[in-house]
Formats: sequence, C-alpha cells, structure tokens
Amino acid sequence: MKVSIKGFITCKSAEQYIDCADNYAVDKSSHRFSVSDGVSKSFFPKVWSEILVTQFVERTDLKENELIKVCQEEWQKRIDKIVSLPDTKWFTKSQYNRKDPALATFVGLQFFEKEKKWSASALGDSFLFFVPMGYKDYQKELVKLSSKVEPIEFDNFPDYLTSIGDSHKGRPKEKSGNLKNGTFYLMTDALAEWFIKDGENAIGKIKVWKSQADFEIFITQAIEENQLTNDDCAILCIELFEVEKTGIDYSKIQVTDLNYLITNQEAEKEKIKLKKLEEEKIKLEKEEEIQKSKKLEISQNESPITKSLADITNEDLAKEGLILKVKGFFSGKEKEENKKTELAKEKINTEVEGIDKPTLEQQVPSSEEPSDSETTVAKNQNSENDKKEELETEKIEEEAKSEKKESENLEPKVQPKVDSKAKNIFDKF
Amino acid sequence: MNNSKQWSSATPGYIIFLVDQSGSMGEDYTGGKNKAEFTALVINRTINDLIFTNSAGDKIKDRVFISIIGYGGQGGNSVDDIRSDYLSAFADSPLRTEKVKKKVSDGAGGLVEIEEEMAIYLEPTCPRNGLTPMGEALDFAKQLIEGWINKKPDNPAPVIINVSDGMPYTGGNAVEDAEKAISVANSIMNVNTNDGNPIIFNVHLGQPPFNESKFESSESKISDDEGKLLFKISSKVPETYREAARKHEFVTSEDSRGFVSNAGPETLIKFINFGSSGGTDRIA
Repeated sequence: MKVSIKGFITCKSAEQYIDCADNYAVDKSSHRFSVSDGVSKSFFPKVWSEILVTQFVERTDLKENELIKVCQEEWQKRIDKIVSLPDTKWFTKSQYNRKDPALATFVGLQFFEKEKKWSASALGDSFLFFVPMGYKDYQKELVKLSSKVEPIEFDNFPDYLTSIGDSHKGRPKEKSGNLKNGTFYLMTDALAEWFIKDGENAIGKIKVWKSQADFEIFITQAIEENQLTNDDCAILCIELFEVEKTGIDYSKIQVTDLNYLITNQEAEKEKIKLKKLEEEKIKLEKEEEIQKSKKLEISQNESPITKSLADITNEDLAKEGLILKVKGFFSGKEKEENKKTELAKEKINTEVEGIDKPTLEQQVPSSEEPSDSETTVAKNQNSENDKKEELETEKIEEEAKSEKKESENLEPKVQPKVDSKAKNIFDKF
Repeated sequence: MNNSKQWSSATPGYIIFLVDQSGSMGEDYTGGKNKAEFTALVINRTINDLIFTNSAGDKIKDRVFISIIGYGGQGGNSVDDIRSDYLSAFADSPLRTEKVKKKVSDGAGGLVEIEEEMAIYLEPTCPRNGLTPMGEALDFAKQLIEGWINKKPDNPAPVIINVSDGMPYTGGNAVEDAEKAISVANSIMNVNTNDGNPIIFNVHLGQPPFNESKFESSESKISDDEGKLLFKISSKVPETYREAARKHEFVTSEDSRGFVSNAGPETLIKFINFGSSGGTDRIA
C-alpha cells in the first residue's frame, strides 16, 4: 500500500502561532496519526493537546487508559516546571493552586499492516472522515467519526479529555474497517464544520492545497467570506492507493511543523522589534542634532544689545520682546536705519488701522539726534509704563486665579469637559 | 441577530462599569462591608473571573476591553476613568493582590483549602461630598462607546453595567438630573453598531429587607421611583443574553429590561456576572 500525507495548521487570525492550541502528529513507523484541539478556556491547553497527539503516535505499548494516565503525568510535570519559574504570573499560580485542568478534543487513527485494517477513536468536535476513491454516492459512502451526535451542531462546549483526574466529558466513539483506496481526513472543529457544510466541493478545494501558504490563503479567504469560523485549524490528509500491495510505503509526507512556524514568527517579531529600536535611535539622534544646531544658531544670532537690555530694563519687558536701544551699542547708522524701519511700520499700521497714532517721527523732535540709552529709554518711557501696568494686572489676575483654585478644592468639584479623558482612553483601543 | 457577535481576540467585546461613588455608598450593606466596599469586591472578583476564563495558562487572551468609571468619587460631580485597558493589561498590572483562602476539590472526592491571589483593580471610595452625577457618567460612557465603534466597527456592541444606590443628583434640580440620565441613556441605546445597539444594564443597591424588583417588562409593575427610573434607562434583555440570565437564576420575558432595583448582595453578584458574561458563554 502507498500512503501520501499532507498536513497543515494555523492559528486564529489576530493571534499568533504560539497561541495555537491545535496539534497533530504523524508516525510512519507506528502507522499512527492524530489531531487534538485544546479548549481555549482551560489551563495550558496547547501543552495538553501536544502531549496527547505525540504520546498516541509514539506509545504503541500502552492501552487507552494507561495512555491517558501517562499523558496526564507528562502534562503535570511540564506545568510544575512552568509554574516554578520565578516570573510566573499571579493568575497562573492561582489556577495551578486551584488545580485547574487542561481540556482537549482528540482523534486517533491507526493502520494494521498485516490485517489491512484501520481503527479510529474520537472524542469531542474534532472529526475523522474517509472518502473512498471513485465513490458513486458521496453522502452515502462518506465515513464520519466524532463523539458528536446527530444533528451535528458546533458550539463552545465539546466533549474533551481532561489533564487531571478522570472527569472527562463524553464517551469516545470508535470505528474500524478494511483499508481501501481513498483519503482519510483528520481535522479540528472549524474545518470539520466547513467540510460538512461544503459537502463534495470540499474535496476539490483541499486537493488544491500544495503548501502551507496555499492553506493559509484559503483559510483567510474562507473566514472573510464567512464560510469558516475564525479559529485554530489543523488538518491531516492521508491518501491511500495501491492498497492491494503488501507493506506500507510512505511515498510522501509533507506536514507543516507548528514549532517551525512558531520559531520563524518569533524570529520575525524579534527582527521587527530590533529594527524599530534602531529606527527610534536614529530618530532621537537626528532630533538631538537638530536641537544642537538650533542652539548654536541662536547663540550666534543673539545680539549683545539684548543681553545688556536685560540688565538695564525690567525683566518682564525684555520677555515681552521689546527691543530698546541702549548706550553705546548702536552705531549711528544702525540707529538711523532702525528708525526708518520703525517709521515705515508705524505708517503702515496707521494706514491699516485708521488710527491717528503719533509716529516716532512726531515723537522725536527732528532736531534731536538719538544718542545715548537714557534718552532713548526716556522716549519709550510711556510704553514701558503701560507694559508694566499690563504685567501688574496680569500678575493680579494670576493670583486671583490660584486663589480661586484653592477655594474650589474646598468645595465639591464640578466636572469640566471630559473629552480629553475620553481621548486618552481611545488611544488604548 | 442583534448582540450576537462573539467576543474574540480578533473582535474583543467592551464592558463599561459605571460605579456610583457618592457619599451614600458609605452606608452599611452586608457582612461588615458598606456598599462601596462590597461593590468593589464584586467588580474585582468579576474581572478576576474574566481573567481566568480567558487565560490559556501563562497568557491572557484580549477578548474584552474594560473601563471602570467612577462618579462622585473625587467629590462633587466628578466623573473619573479609574482604569481602562485590555484584559491582559489588567492581568499584568493590578493595583495590588490579596491572598484569599478557598476550598477546592482534591480530585478524590474531598475538599482542600488553598490560598489564592485575587487581583484588586477598584478600591472602595465614597467621599461625603460625593454626589451622583449619573447623567454625566452615562454621557462619558457614550463618548467612549462612540470612540470604540469608530475604531472597532465590526466588534460586538458594548455593554454598560451601572451600579448605583440612588437617584441621579448633581446638587441642583433632581428632576432635571433624572431626565438627563434618561435622555442620555436613550441616546446610548439608539446608537447603531453592526451588532445592534449598545446595552445598558443597571443595578441599584438596596437596604434590608431588599424588596427587589427585577427584569420587569412593564413600568406599571414597578411601584418605587428608583425602579421606574432604572426601567427607563435599561435596555431590553437581548435574546442572546436570556440564556445567561437563566443560568444566573433570573426569569426574563421577551420585553424584560435588564435591571434590578433594591438588590441584595447575592443578586448584585449574580447580576454583575450576568451583565459581564458577553451573553451565553459567547467567547470564541
């Protein structure tokens, strides 16, 4: 007999391979095959489903009851190790202390070479199907196995094997038969539900999958078209031909390794993380450079007049950006030029505002030559005084505001707008 | 069917707890705890349960986003975001944890006492000058819902669970305060999402002998003012939540509104569990 196997697996969309709680295993020496789906609300379900499928295909020496005990011991050993780590989270410890179990569905299939027979066992909503080659009536000849009863409805409450004790849910269903040319399909619930709904068409669609990539494209599309529930998906397709020949020859085994997918994805994530860190570092460095060069520019452009202005004039006036002329810092030419500019500005402002403002020319008698700081400061004394008054008023208002705040703290608060608080929350969505 | 989308990592649900933190929440309630303390205990436990339900061992699946909004807790008419985050963030950083003793099955037919850690997210607070700006709190919740729908149009419709012990009161006209709460609640219940309208469930903490009025389908069957108000600001229980109601021993009809008035402690626990169930175990 010749056997060709292909197997594909993927996680729910919006999750990662490391979160996938489905598992499968194939062992050509034992002629055993299995799939399992960890129940997501249970405690370390992916560890449990992985142990179930690997122990089934490897431990041919054990009967069913013994096999489950061995699996449970293995699960407990692994969980004990995980929980003993120093960075174990409080919720993991709580569930461990409560002895929360892991739960999983299971389907196991094995071939008996000499007898040319097969037998299978299933518990939960993972399914086994067999489609004989050259069938005439698909629905009649299709072999179906799971512990679900007709009419089959998929929900969040499948039968399961538990990793602690013997309170398993439901009873395994078993089937056996003679080996025939055709294909066995072992699959978890989301795919099983689609397979049943799609009927004969599903066979053709599965045949097209030549790679993990083909499979993932199909899954994504089927979910988008609401043909498939968004869930972890695992499938083994075991094709038998030339059954009449002696021996079992595995001509092709192409089964995606979930651990390989996980390793690759984690490596990709690490790469992206490092790249982001590098980009941020470069961005920070650039920003620092820009800041440095800005500071340099400012210090180069900074006029000495401004410094001594700060010494002489009121600090607040300097902050307001008033530029006053001081003793000995302006050359006569500069003074003239500045005066001309100011006159021009005043003219424009007056024209625009229609206000009959006295211009600098009017303020400064034409006979006078602006000379020293005292004279210049005196000329602008009025505006300085105005500014001082303004600033005084501002100060008083500020003090009044802070007094008001203090008194508000003593009284019940009236909530201002909540928009900014809501915006902060939106950023977390 | 409305309100039928499953909570999942791809399309998380959104629960908003509105928590009355007015001065009257300092009244005695049960077991040596006042209303604020017991409410905080129940909400903390509920969030812990959500964490355990969505745990796969060492990781929490982000199937739900939670906001805890307090009103009156900073005094006056304050409305505050106590905490808003995805479930995994809640799990990763509680305010603190408390050790609690619990009896669990030993797997051999007996019970064994274990020590468990409970994460704390909401501390009880009820300042004397805290009022009850329920309308304002609902208004804030409406902003959050609109923001959520804007970013997550394909997600399940959000759920508000409002826990209070009195009528809306901002220090002015009580009638206007009640009208505001009704008006905002109605506007929330008329917001459109791809999964139907957002749901508002209300529970009012009572006093012994706890003459509870719950899930009524007609205002005429309610005699007290608080019950009447709650009726008006509560959503009809969606079909998808009726099984969850049954599991929590609440009897509902097609037109039942999701509220309990004069709730006793046990009912409070059941009601909050029901309200945060996402319907009938609708977790993918």
